[in-house]
Amino acid sequence: MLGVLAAWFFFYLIGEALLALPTSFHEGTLWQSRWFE
Amino acid sequence: MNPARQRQPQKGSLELIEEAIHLLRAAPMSAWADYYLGSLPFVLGLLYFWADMSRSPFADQHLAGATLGLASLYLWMKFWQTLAVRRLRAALAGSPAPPVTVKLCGEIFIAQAALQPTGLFLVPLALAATLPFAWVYAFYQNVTVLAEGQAGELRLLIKKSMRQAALWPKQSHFLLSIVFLFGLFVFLNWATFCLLLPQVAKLLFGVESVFTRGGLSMVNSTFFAAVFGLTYLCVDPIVKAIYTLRCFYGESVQSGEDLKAELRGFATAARRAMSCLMIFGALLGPRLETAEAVELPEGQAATPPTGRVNDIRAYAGPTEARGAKRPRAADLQPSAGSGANSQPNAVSISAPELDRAIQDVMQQRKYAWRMPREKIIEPKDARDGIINRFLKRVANLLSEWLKAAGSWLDAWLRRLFFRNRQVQPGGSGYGWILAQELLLGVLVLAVLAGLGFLFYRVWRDRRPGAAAVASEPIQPAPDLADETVGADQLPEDGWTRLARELLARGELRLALRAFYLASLAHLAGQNLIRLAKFKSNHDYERELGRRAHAFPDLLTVFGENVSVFDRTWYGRHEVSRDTITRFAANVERIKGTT
Repeated sequence: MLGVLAAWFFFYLIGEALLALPTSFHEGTLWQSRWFE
Repeated sequence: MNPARQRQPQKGSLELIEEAIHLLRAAPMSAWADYYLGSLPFVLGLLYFWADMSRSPFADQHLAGATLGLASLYLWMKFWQTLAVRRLRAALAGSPAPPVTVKLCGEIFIAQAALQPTGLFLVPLALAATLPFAWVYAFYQNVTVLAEGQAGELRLLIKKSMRQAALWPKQSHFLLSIVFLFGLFVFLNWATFCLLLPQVAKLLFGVESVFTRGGLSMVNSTFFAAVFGLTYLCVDPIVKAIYTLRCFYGESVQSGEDLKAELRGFATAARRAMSCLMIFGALLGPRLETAEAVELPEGQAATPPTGRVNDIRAYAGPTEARGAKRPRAADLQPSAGSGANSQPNAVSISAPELDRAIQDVMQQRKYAWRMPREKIIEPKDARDGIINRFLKRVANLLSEWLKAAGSWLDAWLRRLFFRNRQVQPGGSGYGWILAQELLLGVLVLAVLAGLGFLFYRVWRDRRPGAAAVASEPIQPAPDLADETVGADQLPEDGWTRLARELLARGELRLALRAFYLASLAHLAGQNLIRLAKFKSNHDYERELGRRAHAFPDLLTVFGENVSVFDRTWYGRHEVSRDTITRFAANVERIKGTT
C-alpha cells in the first residue's frame, strides 16, 4: 500500500512539474527562438 | 561482501553485453510478450499523460486520477518485467520456464509494489550524488531479476539483491557507461528518424502532413518524451538481460549453476502462438485506439459548430434524450435536435443550465486545445505545500469516487424499484405492484440485515476470547441477631447498606450493630485492627490504641462508639434515632479520619 502511494506521489510530482512549466517550454518556442534565430 | 568473492574471475563488460544480446536473440517469444505487455502500456500511458499535462488547460483538474492510473501502469510494468526476466533466467539455465500460478503472481506483484516505487525516488537521488548510482541502480534491477514469488521472501529478496549489486563494481560501472552511451545514440537515432520520417514520406510519396507544414514545431517536450519512451523500449530489455546474466553468474559462484547449464545444453524453446497473439494485440490495440481518436477530431473539424451545438444539445437535454424513449415525455417536450423542422424550445432550458452545459462541453478533451493553457490553470491551493496539495487531491478523488458509487447505487435502486410504476390509466390498478415492491424491499432489507449479522458474528469470533469470569455465590445477608456474626462477613459498603435498610425498617438495634460492624470492617481494611472472633470490643480498642498513634481523634471516637454499642447491644439501654444518628456520624468521622 505504501509502495502504491509512493509511486502515486512520484508521478504526482512529475505532473505538478509539467503543469508548472510554461507553455512556451512545452511548445519548444522557448529554446527554438535562441537556437534558430 | 566477502572480498574473496569480489576477486572471483569476472567477465568483461563487452563480453557480458554480447552475451546479453545473444540471450535476447535466443529468448522465447513469451519472454518478449511478457516484457512488452507490461512496458508498452506504461510508455503509452506516460506519453498520453505527458501530452495531457503539457497541453490541456484542464489537466490540473484530473491530475490526481491521472497519476494514480500512471502509478498503476508502472506497477503493472514491473510485474510483467519480472515474469519476462524469469523466462530469461530459465532460458539461461537451460531449464523449462517455471509454471505461473495465481499465488506466484500475487507474491511477485506484492514484492514489486513494495520495493520498486522507492526506486523512483532513490535512483534519481543516487544519480545526483553520482557515486552510489551503480549500486542503487543495480539493486533495483536485481529486485526485478531475483524475485521468486515465494511467501515472505521480501527480506530475502532485499538481501540477495544487495549482495548481487555489490558484486564486481568495476564491471558494473563499465556496463553502465557503455549502456548509457549506447542509449544516447539510440535516442539520437530515434530523434533523427522521427524528425526525418515526415519529410521522407513527403519526398517519396507526396504525403503532406502537419509535421511537414510545421517545420520544427514538432520539436516540443512531448516529442522528446516520445523519443525517450522509444529509447527505453529498445535499451531496457538489454539492461534486463545484462543484470540477469550478472545475477546468474553471481549466484553461480556458490551454486555452480553456470556449469550445470552448460552440461544440460540449450533446450529448444517452444514458441507459443498465444505469445504472438499477445504481442500483436499489444501492438495493434493502441493503434486502433489511436486511429479512433484521430478520426473523431477530423469529423468534428469538418463541421465544428454543428458538432459542438449537437454536443451541447445532447448534454443540456438529458431529459429530452431520455424522453425520446418515453412517449409521454416526448409528447410534452420534443427533442431539440430531432429534425430540421423542429422548433427550438427555448423555454425548456434555463439559462444557468445552458451555461453549465456549455461549460461542460467546452471542457471536453476535443475542444481543450482551443483554450489558452495558463489562463485556465488557477489552482486555488497554490499556497499549500506539495504534500498537502497531493493529500487534498487524493481526498477529493476518493470523495468523487464515493459520490459516483452512491449515484450509481441510487440510479440502480430507482431502476429496480420504480421501473414498473408507469401503468396504463385504464388498468386494474397497481396495488399488487406496490405490494411486490414492498416485499422486495423487505427481502433486500432482510438479506442486508442477515449479512450484517453474519459479518458481526465473524468479527466477534475473530476477537480473542473474553477472559473467563469466575462465578461467585451471592452471599445472603447475615443474621445480625446471631452473636457469631463477624465484621469480615461483608465489606464495609455492605454493612453500611444493610444498616440503612434496617434503619428504614425500624430495626434500630440491629442497625446500630451493622454500623458498628461497618466501622470494624473499615478499620480492618486500613490495617489498623485485625479481625478475629475471639477478640472483644475492648481488644479492638486496645489494638487501635497501639496502631493508630497518627490519628489521636480516632481512638476517642471509636471508644465512644464502643461504649454506646456495649450499652445498647449487651445492656438494656434503649436505642433511639438520635443515638443511631450520632453513632452513624461517628462512623463517618472514623472513615474520614483514616
